[in-house]
Amino acid sequence: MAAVSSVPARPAARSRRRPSSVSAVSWGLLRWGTIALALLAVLVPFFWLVSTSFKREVDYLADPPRFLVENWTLAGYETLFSRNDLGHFFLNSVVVTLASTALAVTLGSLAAYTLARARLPFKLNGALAFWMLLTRMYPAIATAIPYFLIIRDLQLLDTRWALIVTYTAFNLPFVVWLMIGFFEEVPAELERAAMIDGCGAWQRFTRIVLPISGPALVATAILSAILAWNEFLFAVMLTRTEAKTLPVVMAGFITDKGMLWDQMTALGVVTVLPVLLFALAVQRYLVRGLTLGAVKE
Amino acid sequence: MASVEFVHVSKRYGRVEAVSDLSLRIADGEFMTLVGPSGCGKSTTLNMLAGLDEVSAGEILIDDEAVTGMPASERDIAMVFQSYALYPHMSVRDNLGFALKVHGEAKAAIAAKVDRAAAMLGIADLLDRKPRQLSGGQRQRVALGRALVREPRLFLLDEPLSNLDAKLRVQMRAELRLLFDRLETTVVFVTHDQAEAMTLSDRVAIFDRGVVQQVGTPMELYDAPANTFVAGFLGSPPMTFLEATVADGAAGPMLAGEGFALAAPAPRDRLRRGQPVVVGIRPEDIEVSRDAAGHPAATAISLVEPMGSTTIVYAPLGGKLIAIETDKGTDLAPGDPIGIGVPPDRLHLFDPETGRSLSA
Amino acid sequence: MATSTTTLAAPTTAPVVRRRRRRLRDAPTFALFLLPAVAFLALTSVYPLLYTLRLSFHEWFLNRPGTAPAWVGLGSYQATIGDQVFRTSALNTVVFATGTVAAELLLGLALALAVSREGAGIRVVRSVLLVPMIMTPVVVGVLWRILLFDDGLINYLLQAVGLPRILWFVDPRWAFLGVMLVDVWQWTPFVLIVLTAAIAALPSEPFRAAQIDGASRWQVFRYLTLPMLAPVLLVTGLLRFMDAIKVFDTIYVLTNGGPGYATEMLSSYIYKQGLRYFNVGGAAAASWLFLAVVVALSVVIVKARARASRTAAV
Ligand SMILES: Nc1ncnc2c1ncn2[C@@H]1O[C@H](COP(=O)(O)OP(=O)(O)O)[C@@H](O)[C@H]1O
Ligand SMILES: [Mg+2]
Repeated sequence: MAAVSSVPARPAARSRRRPSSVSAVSWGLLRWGTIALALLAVLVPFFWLVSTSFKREVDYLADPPRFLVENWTLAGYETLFSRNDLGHFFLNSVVVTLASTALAVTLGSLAAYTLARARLPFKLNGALAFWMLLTRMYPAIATAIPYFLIIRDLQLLDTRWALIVTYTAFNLPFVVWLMIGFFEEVPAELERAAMIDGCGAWQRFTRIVLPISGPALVATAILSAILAWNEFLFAVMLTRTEAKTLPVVMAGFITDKGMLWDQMTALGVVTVLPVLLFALAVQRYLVRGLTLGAVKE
Repeated sequence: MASVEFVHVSKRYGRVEAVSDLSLRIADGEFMTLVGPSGCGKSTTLNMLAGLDEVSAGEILIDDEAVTGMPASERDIAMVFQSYALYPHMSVRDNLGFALKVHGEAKAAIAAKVDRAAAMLGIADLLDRKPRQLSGGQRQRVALGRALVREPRLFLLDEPLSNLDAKLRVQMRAELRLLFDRLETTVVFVTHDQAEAMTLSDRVAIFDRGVVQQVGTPMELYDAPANTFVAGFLGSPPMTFLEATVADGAAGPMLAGEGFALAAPAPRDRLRRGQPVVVGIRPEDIEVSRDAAGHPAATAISLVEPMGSTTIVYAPLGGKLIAIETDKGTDLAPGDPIGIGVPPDRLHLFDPETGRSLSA
Repeated sequence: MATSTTTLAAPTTAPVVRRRRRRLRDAPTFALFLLPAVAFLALTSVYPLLYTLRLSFHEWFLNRPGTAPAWVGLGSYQATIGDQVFRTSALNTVVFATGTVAAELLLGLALALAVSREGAGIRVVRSVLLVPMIMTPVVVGVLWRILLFDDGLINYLLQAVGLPRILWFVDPRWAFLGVMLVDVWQWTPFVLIVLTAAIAALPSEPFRAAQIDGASRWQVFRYLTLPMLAPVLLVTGLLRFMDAIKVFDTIYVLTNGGPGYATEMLSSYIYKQGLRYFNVGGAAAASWLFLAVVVALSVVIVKARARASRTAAV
């Protein structure tokens, strides 16, 4: 069990104030200095990404670099959109992300519920949970080549289906692993009460456990979606033209197009912005999902 | 309405035997309490009856029908849990009606039954709240209501009062008794609290380490405990146990121990001279004599505890601190020398080896 | 309904009709719950893994049409282990993962301590610090390519503080440091998040007691905070390590393994063997060598998690 105290715990001693003492002042300086540096380290590159996408070539290639320029422009975006079927690739990313997330969360939470609650024969609970963990840990590259061959033989190369199946497979163990933790937190007596009230496993799952686990499901879905949206290795391997997702298009700029930084960063913004907005909107759940693996127990 | 019978029921968890060879019959309409210290197998027994745990051996019959393998949902029972186990995402109304809904009852019928149960428990104005908006006592009522709505043939309650504060617990205890008197349904009630067991039950089964020690009405168990465990478990403050040996006295056999001698109870022919016994003395059976000089059981008061309606005083005797119940107006004070007497027929004698009663 | 003629108090020892089968009524539901996920994973992970294993004992070049896999026994493994580039990649991967994870743990811990006190604006700070790990890795790679460019922002800033410019993509050492820098930028937020949550979950009583005992800020950190966070630090470090040795996207975009093989990692090595040189057998053998290490590490992680949870439970 985690050392979770019901008191909203602040590490009181470390942060306590000795009013007007020198050490308190210098501690505050150190603390805010650290925070300021970290903020700069994150924000300056991010600002660079966004601002470059609105610069002209003379400005973004200028030496020394120019932070602010006089003539902001949308030219990068205009060229990007006019020369590429970006809407199509954007849609690819959306469809692949949503479909694989829905699949992974559905299949994964059903399996996780079973692993958390059913007493399976042959010690299968532990074995399957361990298998899921291994599947999450092993390097995907290890299956890349046969995976490519299988998809090719199934004539699924360069289709959205190939990516949907792939990302579902990536996220399934992850969903199972996270959801087992959440489902085990649902008090067993609740389900016993539901059994007495006449519920079978299906009803207990849909009427009691799922509604209670809403936030956990959301957290898990978000993490899965981010992973699918950002995935690159299999996307670049399994698609050519039709089913390309945004990261693949992005990587294409590196090899083909040299120094078209305005377009590259514009595409970067288009790729990153949806996932950032989405993530910040649901940050609470995101943090919960991310920290579960390490902080729980 | 239902009768229940346990036939040589055992439950093992790995090497731990949680319940051993339990045989117990509960009559139709009876209020039966399973009582014992924590971990003695009460909940396990109840869960097996509910169908939440499988039996390892033996058979459970409800209305003379074997229910082994029958899922909980088909046993037509209702259960109240110690943690209440209210569905946190449902309103009180939905909590109460959930079982009926699962069983496919009509909406109107459900609403009527929910309203009736809510009125019975005085929670009609809470129906639209969520469990987290309720106090402990209110949650407890909702948990009860959820069982009542079902109109089951059997109520199972697992420590339903344990999470309430002391005052509310006593109040709910009385309400529970009134409620189930009215319903006339069979109730199996689990508690670790001997006062609840004594006050609520038609009959009580006392458990220790997975084994039933004695079954009977509260007063039978109190007056004629079968062994030291039962004797010590019921009553507050508990019975004091003194080690003694049977000896000859002027007026017949005496029970002599370290610093005391008491007249032995009848029938005395069971007692052999020199036989070691354990003497059990209840606090309320002791007669205090202020005339300690030359008294066969002389001691001095070490502690006085006013309880309000009575006063408990403690004095060392036979290597133990013996509890004595006195009037609340007593002027006994620490240090006062006293003599202790017990009417022979109020003494309980036990075998020091087995702990079994020698009185029966 | 099964019947039993058992009556009254005298319990019978006679066998009574049993209905064990009905107990299993939940079993079909649970089987249905479990089966799709298990089947899906078997097809998408177990089968390809075994396929890789089979291929690793064969020689097969995809770019030679009409050829079939030819059995070579352990030949591919020998060739791979003998390949200087493979060995460089393996060493690179280990150095890269060790270095980045150590840096991320240190920075993440310092930052977590800095942002763990509630206060105005701290929530916003936490949200902002989250950004790098959510950004698409390929975009991160492109962004840092621009930043580390010869005339780019980083070199400009280095000059501004009086340091020489660095040719990040020409000098092998700096290239390696560069890809490490990007990984640290990207993943320190993960450590930060986990540690912030862990700090918030610490019990407050020991800290109050230390306050009463007059412990200094350093003493509190050294004797309370750090030991209590140790299990979480361990698990977080291991999780990060597992991810760091798989690094691919940012390398692909930033250096593509160059200059030379200076930033070649196991993932990019396998990718190139398989999909650039079409040496399927070699890629498969390298994959299984990689896997062996990862599986061994996973076992260590599982053990560490178990131990960490035991420690935390005390
Ligand atoms: N699921 C279980 N697994 C292993 N042992 C158990 C389990 N449930 C109960 N026990 C053990 O069985 C004994 C009886 O438990 P229980 O019936 O819950 O006692 P109580 O009388 O307090 O309700 C205890 O020793 C307990 O540790
Ligand atoms: Mg119990």
